[in-house]
Amino acid sequence: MKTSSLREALILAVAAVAPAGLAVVFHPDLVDRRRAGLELGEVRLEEARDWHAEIIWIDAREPETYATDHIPGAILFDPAAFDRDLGTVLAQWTPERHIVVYCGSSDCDTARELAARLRAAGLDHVHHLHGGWEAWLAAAAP
Amino acid sequence: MRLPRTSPTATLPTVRAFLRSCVVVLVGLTSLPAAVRAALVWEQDEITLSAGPFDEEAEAEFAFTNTGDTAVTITNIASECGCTVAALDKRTYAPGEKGVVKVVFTFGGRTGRHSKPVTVSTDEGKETFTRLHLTVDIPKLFETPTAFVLWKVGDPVESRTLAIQAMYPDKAIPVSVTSRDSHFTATVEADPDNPALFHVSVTPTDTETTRQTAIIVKTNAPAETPRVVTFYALIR
Repeated sequence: MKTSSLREALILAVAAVAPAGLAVVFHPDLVDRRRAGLELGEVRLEEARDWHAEIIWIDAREPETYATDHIPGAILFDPAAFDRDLGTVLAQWTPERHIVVYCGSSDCDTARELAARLRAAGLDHVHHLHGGWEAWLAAAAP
Repeated sequence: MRLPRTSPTATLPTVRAFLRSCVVVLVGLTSLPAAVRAALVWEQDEITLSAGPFDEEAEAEFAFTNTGDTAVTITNIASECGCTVAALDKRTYAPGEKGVVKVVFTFGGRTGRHSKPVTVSTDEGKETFTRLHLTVDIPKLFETPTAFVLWKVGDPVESRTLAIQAMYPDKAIPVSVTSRDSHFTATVEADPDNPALFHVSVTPTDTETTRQTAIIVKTNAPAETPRVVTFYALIR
């Protein structure tokens, strides 16, 4: 009796896991592990680096924080001066370039909000960085 | 090799001991919140407001009471955005005393829904803090589907048109337009069928080289709260 119960449990487990395994084998594009747990428009640093495209980095933190350190080449963007700073971004922009906005960490909303405003302004390929500046620092740490 | 059979009754004391441990752990966990309960009790930790079309800031007050037996000191108030300022009348609150954290969010051109967090830290215990959220719906005076018009180098020299929808046409509508660069000309006119809809037409003098300029649309908004709509004209 115990053997038959074990056999049934094994059959049920295989029946549950097999479709997922087949999906991974035949539709790997549907199972992007790097996208797991991300919001719409959010991108992980490693994925952004895989684009092999020149990214326009936008720093949505405070000017004092930006002055301390920032991603090389990042544009300091003040959401309160959106129209002015949009001009600075457009000066570097071409339709094929990606834009990645970041703020301090995953706790801040500024990057998400600013990315949404840039998309609403008509720009494509606009993302906000998962983990923000902290993720950049963690990746740069030895 | 055959394994010795285990009698079901032999495992019962072990199961009982395990269940007893579970009960002890559960009772401990349920009593934990009372032991570490924060003394500051907030009336609400999220306030949502709707701003008027010409408002430039929103203000909210987060009220709290010290329900503990000892005085509580607010050690820090932090906001992630320079646009949000939080203030207190004082730092230390006696048992039973009430207080208010006043939060002011300055819009600075933002529109749409914005949620601004403020973190309040106290000396109630190690890493005791409360996250307050001021959420504001800021209306748009003008709706524009895009903020720029684009020509590629070598494109035919022809006009591109931008639409501006006045969301409060009784309060502000576009009245004139100027280009900051003489290589572009711009005009604005009302839609003949929709008095709240305006069309801005931009024309470059040529498309031979890359260029960029701002197109400024002035409106008849009150002088004390002037509003312009800024577009960009690009040749790439």
